[in-house]
Amino acid sequence: MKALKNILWELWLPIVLVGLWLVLSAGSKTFYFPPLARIMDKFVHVWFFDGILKDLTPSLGRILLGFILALVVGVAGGTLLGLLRRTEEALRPVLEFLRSTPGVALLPIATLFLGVGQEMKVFMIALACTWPILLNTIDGVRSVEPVLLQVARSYRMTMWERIRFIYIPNASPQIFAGGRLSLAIAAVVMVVTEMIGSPGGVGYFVLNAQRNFDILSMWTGIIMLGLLGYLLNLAFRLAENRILRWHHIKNA
Amino acid sequence: MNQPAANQELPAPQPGQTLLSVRNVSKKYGPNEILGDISVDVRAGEFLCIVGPSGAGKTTLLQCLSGLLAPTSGSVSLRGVEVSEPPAEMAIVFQDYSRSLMPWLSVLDNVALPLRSTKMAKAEIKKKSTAALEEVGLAGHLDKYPWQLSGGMQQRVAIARALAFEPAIVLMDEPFASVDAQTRSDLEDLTLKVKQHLGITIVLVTHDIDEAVYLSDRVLVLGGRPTEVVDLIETHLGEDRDQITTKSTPQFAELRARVYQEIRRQTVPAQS
Amino acid sequence: MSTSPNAVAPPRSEVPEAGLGAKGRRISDRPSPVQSSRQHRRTRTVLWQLFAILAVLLIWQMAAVSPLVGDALPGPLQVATAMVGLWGTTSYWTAVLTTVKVWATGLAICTVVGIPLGLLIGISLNATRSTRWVIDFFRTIPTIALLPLVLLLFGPSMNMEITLIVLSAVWPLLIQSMYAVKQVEPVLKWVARVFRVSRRDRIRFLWAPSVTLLVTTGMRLAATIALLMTVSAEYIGGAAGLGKQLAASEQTFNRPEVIAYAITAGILGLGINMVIVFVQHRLLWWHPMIRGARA
Ligand SMILES: Nc1ncnc2c1ncn2[C@@H]1O[C@H](COP(=O)(O)OP(=O)(O)OP(=O)(O)O)[C@@H](O)[C@H]1O
Ligand SMILES: [Mg+2]
Repeated sequence: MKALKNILWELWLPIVLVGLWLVLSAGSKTFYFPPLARIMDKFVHVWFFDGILKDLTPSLGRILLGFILALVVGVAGGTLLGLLRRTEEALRPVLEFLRSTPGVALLPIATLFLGVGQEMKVFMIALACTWPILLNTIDGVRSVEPVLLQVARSYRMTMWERIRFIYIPNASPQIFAGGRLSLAIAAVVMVVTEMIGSPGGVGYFVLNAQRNFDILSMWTGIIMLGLLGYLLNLAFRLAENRILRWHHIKNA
Repeated sequence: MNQPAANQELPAPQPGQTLLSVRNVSKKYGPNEILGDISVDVRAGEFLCIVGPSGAGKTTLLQCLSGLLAPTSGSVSLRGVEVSEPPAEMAIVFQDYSRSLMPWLSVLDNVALPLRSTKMAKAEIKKKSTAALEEVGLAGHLDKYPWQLSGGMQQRVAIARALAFEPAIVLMDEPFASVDAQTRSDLEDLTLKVKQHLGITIVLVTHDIDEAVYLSDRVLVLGGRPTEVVDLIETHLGEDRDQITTKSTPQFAELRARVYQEIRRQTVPAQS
Repeated sequence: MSTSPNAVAPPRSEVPEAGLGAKGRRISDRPSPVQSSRQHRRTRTVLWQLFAILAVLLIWQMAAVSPLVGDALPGPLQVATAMVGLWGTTSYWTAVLTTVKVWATGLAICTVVGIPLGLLIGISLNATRSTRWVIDFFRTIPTIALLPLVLLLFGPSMNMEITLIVLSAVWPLLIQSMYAVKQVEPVLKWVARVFRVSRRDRIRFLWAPSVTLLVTTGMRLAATIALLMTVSAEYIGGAAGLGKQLAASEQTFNRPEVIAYAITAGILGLGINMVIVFVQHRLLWWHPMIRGARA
């Protein structure tokens, strides 16, 4: 009963909004806002399953690849810099500058060296995603309780063991926080690089549809990108909940 | 400053008269019945200590007394007026002193904050707050911030805030639980001193039986499941108390043993 | 968002150092040995930081002249020359100002909408539950996907950019404000009730300082995202500003200028971040995280 009430409270607004869109757009003659029902028809037509194979898979592939690269580089680099206090202090201004630079501004430089193909797209995604993860990892590694390190020393843990069992677990809530931000950035950079780069990908599909004034297709692409972002985020959250269960229980 | 409840139109209660009346209070959290059926009268001007095992619901009872929490059944009234919101003549010293002070306000401003909402003039507010802080021995720390003080000093700020409010009754929830032994006895004596000085009523929750006996005129022992009143003991230890002499009297030892046994009977049911 | 004057930091020198305790007052103006060694350390750190920046520039220079890269990559000297050249042109400054103006307008709208709305939603449990899915959805979708649509509607204009900025940057601000309300210490709320603090004082001395940390964090996120969206919209959408200049230099193969514009965008981002961190420190000097105590 109570659970049902909760679900109702959470669902009524989304249902009302989609309903409104459906109803208000039903008789729409506006060129840019076609009826939702027609968009949905077109969606099924375009995306199942040609579109998924042709445009969604490459997009998904490159965002995952870029994100995972950033995760590896960010966590490894962040742990290293977190441990090397002096080095990190010296590099702070450089890192801050790189972090603050809007990723898109680096696009021309990346295309210069990597062209407009897959490499450039993955590289740009990875680059933009690295900074939040890297900086959060540094903070997380830094915030280890000194007592824990003393314990580690008294048990003669090796450096690798300390990293594996103390530094990384301690930093993991912050790593995930950085990762969530990175994922949002990754989606933006993915769309942008696809829009300016070589054909292929949902971002390209949307811009191309717009250029051909195929408004229905453009809308289906926008919806597809929304779904992609939402589902990626959902998957990330599930992973986070699983891995950080100890942390959430502790802070409950 | 020694006129209790100056912000109240009602006449000051006569000592011994009932000030706060608790009638058949019970409290459930969902299906769990925490407080059974608790009735007690707090007399004006007395020092009442509440002891009981951990998790018995002492904090819960205090929250019901103050109107922060509504009891599931039963009622609490202050001078015959039903308590549903924290009454104007009541102040509380919360257990978690570090969280009950605002880190962005200086010590003086923390104490003055409640007074700002009265019709008092600015100069008057400052005078009253300073006086209250002097009373607890913090005269030299008015412009510090809570996080620059030790735990015991922070707790004294919380006490000063309650005093400056000029309540008729102060509720304290394990106020000395997390300070060292020396600071603790200092704070105990301080509390006794200001109580006598201002003639206020104090209800204090504690885990420490020595502390309960030493401070109180009456000790309320809670126990059982759900929690009920096990005993209400008059201490008759007189007005002037001293950490060493009072605690070494046979009367003190006897009271202490009695409270101790009563609590033990609750926690070790096999004995009865 | 008005913050109480009391919550504004007193001048640095007046804030007593944490940990000095009761004897914190300085006896003479002569720096103590502890202070001078701290000073010493600061200077050394700054020197190392300069060294690191120089090292990066040197590596870049070496990469630029190395036969591996050919002459595709202009070196720092070339870029610096191009940058100085650009500083003499009005088009550069117009571009910078346009970008800043659009960014600031978009962020201002986000602030005015996002913070109050977030605070209001945060106060009510039912409002939080009702909006959960909607906020979650809009927060996670890449709003840049709307660029083609917005471009059709508004053309390459300021309105197009601002629409995009608001649609993407308002969410972090709204969400952080929502959380901020929920994080207010419950004991302090009780204190306010028990001691009958007036509504005005509650807002000023309890709510405003309590929500400042998360709201300013939200501002920082929103500002970063807003800048990213501004430059993206200019670069792809062709609205006037830094991004458009960047694309233009790219098309004429003026590589030093391309990098000079990219660096300009970086400096802009860094400056924005620094301003927000500075304000955050001024407002939150009392916060354990900011004054460097362990939580
Ligand atoms: N908000 C709540 N929801 C559900 N149960 C609660 C809540 N608050 C307290 N309880 C339960 O009520 C019981 C009494 O709690 P309370 O804090 O009043 O105990 P206490 O006597 O003050 O304990 P202690 O001496 O350890 O402070 C505990 O078993 C606790 O788990
Ligand atoms: Mg308790």
